Amino acid sequence: MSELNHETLGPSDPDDEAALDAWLAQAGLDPVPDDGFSAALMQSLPDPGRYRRRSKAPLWGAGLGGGLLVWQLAGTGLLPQALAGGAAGLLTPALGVVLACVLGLSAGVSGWVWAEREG
Amino acid sequence: MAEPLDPEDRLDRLLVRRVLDTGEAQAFEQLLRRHQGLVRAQLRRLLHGDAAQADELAQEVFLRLWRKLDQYRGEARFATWLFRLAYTVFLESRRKSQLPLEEDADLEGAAGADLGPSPALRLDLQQALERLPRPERQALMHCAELGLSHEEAAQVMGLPLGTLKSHVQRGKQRLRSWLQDWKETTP
Repeated sequence: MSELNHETLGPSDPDDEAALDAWLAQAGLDPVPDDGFSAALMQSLPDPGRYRRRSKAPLWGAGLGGGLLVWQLAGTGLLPQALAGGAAGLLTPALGVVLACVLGLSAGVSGWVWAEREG
Repeated sequence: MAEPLDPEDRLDRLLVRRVLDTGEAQAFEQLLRRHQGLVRAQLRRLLHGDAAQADELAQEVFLRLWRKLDQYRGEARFATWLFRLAYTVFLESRRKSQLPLEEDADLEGAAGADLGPSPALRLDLQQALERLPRPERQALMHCAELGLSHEEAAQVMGLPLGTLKSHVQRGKQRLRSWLQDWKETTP
């Protein structure tokens, strides 16, 4: 747009709002030609499979975390106690511990997914 | 929420969805090829024509786009969101580079100053635009040169709509005043 000079404003009427608007409208930016920019950038993308894997990350995380949780709690007897408490509608210490573990696990998985998202 | 989608924006959104759903790099490449020209032009203008630095920043913009594409919520046109991302990268680069004092003064302090016409702007209105205080120049650039609405330009620059409109209005007034001076001093 550098060719646009005062002549393009018309008959030198700078008080004319429409003339100024018309000039500004002509001052649109020309897109820069690609000249290999896109191809070079595609070569430098850090991880082309990133989104595909990320879409499964929460499932893998939840599955893995859930498995670990059950494995850890199975030998302690907490899980049956918590289930019994839950069935009776009571917030027993065992149920509290299990709920805390579930919340902690959820927070951990969420943090991991969030960190992945931020790249 | 955005107005009814124009065909260009609809295509952009489809491409975004394809990238997010399938990880399809070709869809991202289409987005890149569709928008690199104007993003690079925007950055060149913001950097006063420094093509090398503008392309360096453009590369950072599109790499960041790749990482953060899933943060696009569709509340604005994709192009507007991308211009906003580019403008953010530009501002970050300025902060990192710690520009000389007069550049900072140009950024923040000159909005109320009357710089007056220079011989250069008598020759070229584009240079008159360049001489505007930075907020006014950037507001006019996004509205007039990139063709964004006031609302979209306000989103890109992260300004309240009223502030953006004030910058545009003041910029136009200043241009008119300089052009009036030019008219009066030209035989």
